[in-house]
Amino acid sequence: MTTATRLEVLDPTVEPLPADGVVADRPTTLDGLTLGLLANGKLNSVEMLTAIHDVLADRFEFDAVVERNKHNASRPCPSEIIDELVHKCDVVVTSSGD
Amino acid sequence: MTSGQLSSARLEFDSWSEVVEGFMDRGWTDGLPIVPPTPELVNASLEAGGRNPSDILATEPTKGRVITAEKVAVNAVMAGCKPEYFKVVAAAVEAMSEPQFNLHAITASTQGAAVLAVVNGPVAKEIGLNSGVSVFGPGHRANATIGRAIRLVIINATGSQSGEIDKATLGHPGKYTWCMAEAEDISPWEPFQTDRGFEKDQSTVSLFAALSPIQVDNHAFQRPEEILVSFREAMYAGGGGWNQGEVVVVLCPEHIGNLERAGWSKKQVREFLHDSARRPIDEWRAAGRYIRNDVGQSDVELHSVTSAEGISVVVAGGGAGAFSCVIPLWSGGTGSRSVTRLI
Repeated sequence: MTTATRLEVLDPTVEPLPADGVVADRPTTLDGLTLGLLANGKLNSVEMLTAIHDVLADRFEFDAVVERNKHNASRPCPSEIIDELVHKCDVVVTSSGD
Repeated sequence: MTSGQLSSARLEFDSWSEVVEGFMDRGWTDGLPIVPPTPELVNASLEAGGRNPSDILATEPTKGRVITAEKVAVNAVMAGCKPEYFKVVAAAVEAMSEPQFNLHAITASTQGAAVLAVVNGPVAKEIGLNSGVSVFGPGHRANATIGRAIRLVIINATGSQSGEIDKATLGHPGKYTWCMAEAEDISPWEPFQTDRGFEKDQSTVSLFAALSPIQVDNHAFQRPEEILVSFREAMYAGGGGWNQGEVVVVLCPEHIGNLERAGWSKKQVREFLHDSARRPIDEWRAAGRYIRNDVGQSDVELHSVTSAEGISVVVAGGGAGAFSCVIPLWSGGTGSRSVTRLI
């Protein structure tokens, strides 16, 4: 049976805070840049990054390579590692092994 | 009662069934029908729990979602909670946001953890929480709906919908709902919340990022040492198996009776399990556990749980049957640590 009364209910969801980050400009080449490699600490994450590095190194001449490992896949990367990568690197590749 | 303080967006439907279908279509449920969260019902929960709608109970750590008492009440109503259950749900949500619980990881991970809520103290009887027969089974509204409310908060307030943030490979049925009380009346020991520094007349909720329980069946023996070896085998089977930081052991009345007759304390049980559940690295590897070569020589023994204190012992279950269980925790009970909070 229907009635004329509409049923009013409340939205159960919570919106995430708007992200204030922006996508960095993409480099036109990797030649002469510093490459960061950030492993998440899972099994094979380093091996995967090494393979990616080797592929890229065949095609580009990096100025330097900075390798770091956050050692805990379930926690955010420590801010000191992020700060270091931001300070030293032009591009960073991360990996999630398993 | 007015609903003027509520700030959630309002939706209108022509009928109860349209609400249910509308919420299903939006992905706002666990796949089961919900109770329409009307402003009146939400206000009743907030009032019973002594909370203002804008009270912040938690901030989701990764996306910064601010979870208010109002949003928790909306989800509690949807789950079918009575207003008097709300204080337990609210305390559980507060506990969930403690950094050590690692909420984002446990609700996103392929390992598929549930949130197990263990309630202690007078509140359990006040609201009719089951600690006895079929303690993990259906038929008990407070258990069923409080556990479900916690899951709906995870789905709707943290955004952990299945296939979106929630990437569980299998998950397990405890992800629908998992809430129990400890059977404090039949336990020979001080209740669980006293192990966490609370008084036994204080009500608490303890949260565990729990994987599927492993049943321990031992009807054959009466001596504690002969019973508890069965728990050791279950500890080997669960989760990461070795070097676990925490694990939960739920002891049923028949097993408790034998331990009590032998005069064993809870501490003795924990120490026995910690000490006996260890084996050489070679045996761990033979069971399919990955252990790095730098951990030690093949004959070095590794404990299943790294400390006796990491074994949480809770008493519950029906009076007939010698069926207890071991509940392994997400990430071997290291990446997420359990939290106990006052209700």
